[in-house]
Amino acid sequence: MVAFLITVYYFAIIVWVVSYIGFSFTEAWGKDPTTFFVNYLGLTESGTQLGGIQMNLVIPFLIVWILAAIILYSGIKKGIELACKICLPILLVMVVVLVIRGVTLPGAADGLDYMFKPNWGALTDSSVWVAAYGQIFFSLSIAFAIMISYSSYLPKKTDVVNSAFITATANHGFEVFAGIGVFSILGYMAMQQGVAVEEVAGAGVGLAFMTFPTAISTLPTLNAFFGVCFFGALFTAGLTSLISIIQAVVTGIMDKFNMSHKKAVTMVMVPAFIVSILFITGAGLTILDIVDAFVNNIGVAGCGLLEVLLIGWFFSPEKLRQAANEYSNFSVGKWWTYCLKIVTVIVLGVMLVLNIKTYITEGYGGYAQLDVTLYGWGAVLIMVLGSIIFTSMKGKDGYRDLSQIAEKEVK
Amino acid sequence: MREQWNSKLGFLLAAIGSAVGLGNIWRFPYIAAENGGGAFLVPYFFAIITAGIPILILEYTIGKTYRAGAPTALARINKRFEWLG
Repeated sequence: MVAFLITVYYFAIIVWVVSYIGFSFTEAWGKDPTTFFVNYLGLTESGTQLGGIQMNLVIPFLIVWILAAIILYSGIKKGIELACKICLPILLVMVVVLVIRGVTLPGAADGLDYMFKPNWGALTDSSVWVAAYGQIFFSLSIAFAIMISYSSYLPKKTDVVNSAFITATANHGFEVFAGIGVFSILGYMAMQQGVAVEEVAGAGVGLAFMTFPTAISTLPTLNAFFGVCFFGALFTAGLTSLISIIQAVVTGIMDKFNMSHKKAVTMVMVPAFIVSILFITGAGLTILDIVDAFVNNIGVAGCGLLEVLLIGWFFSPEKLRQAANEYSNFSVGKWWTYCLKIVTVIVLGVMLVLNIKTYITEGYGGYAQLDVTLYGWGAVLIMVLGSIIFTSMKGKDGYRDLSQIAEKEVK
Repeated sequence: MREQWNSKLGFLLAAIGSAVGLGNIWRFPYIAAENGGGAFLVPYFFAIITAGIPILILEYTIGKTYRAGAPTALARINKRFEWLG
């Protein structure tokens, strides 16, 4: 359910990214990318003023949908595996180009200084630790059901411990590396504008579509080339994540109702297509921002917490540990169980309580209360109701038999 | 017969492709800068080792052992867990 909601809005961001790859060629955003972005989206003042479908978004919208559909219909091997084999090297090359360009610019040191200058005092601040765990959760796509879905297509004799280490290392290595590129370019831009790096630093949609276009326009040469690299990197990174999120929903439906892969893809793509139209209306950005915050900070954190809580305390994690170690060169010790049962439960619990408290007392992001209630808490409600309905539907699979088989396999 | 990845590399690339998303590019540097800069790397690495990798191992093991997407896999662990997926 969580994955389905993420699908529809993640999709919208990629649609914007596709348009911006096109804009990069001519630096279509001109001197004021912020106004350009707002006009481009036809942004309305509140989430309840839809303002109609934005016609200029229709073509990129269809391009991304068709591309995602082709990849997913082609299946695991010929679709997802192939798409990732093509996208990841391209992504890496583009980011390497950006980093090399970034660090050779004057002012890069200021940007990197801002990002890396250690403030050791921060270590005593609990919110810093919560932020670190939050970043790990969002970044690794944990508790989105994706990793369970992907690993269900693994042969039995796979070394999962080693795979987990490789995935984590590649992901976090990439993250720090890309950060160097982004902040050195921002450092350069701040120097050109004669302002402090703090003033231009930002995250998310604002950074990508408002700040970065400005930075690209201030580069001395080859602006279009670096623009394409930046938005191309966002596109390839986003596309592989998008298909993984959709596939998580597809696998869920396919296994529950014992239907073919293609049929399950249709079952997911059609409703997702209809709902995602909401995000190419004038209220798209407002709705997206609210739904994103609530789904991530409450939905994902909540599911993660329940997952480790239920498995850690009500199912034997020791059994899973044996299953994990069975084909692994490097075995995980008891520390693994303790990390799951204690550390992650506490951290996620604190995170969830703090988030819910903030949203109740302060609302979110300065949006009207109506919008936050409608789209934020509405999304939470949909997640809960959706899960209940999905569970109550009768699947074609007899769980009992299967759970006995699975039990034997674990033993 | 359930489809399988062509190779372990294929699975790893797909998993990395999934993990590496927009957040890696546009969220991390800002979060790091706001939360102690270089010092942030300490809780960051700590969190990778105590939460990131253990949960990845957990999810890979669940998926591989129970051979199904999240709802059915969790239902196979315990019938009452299905809704979580």
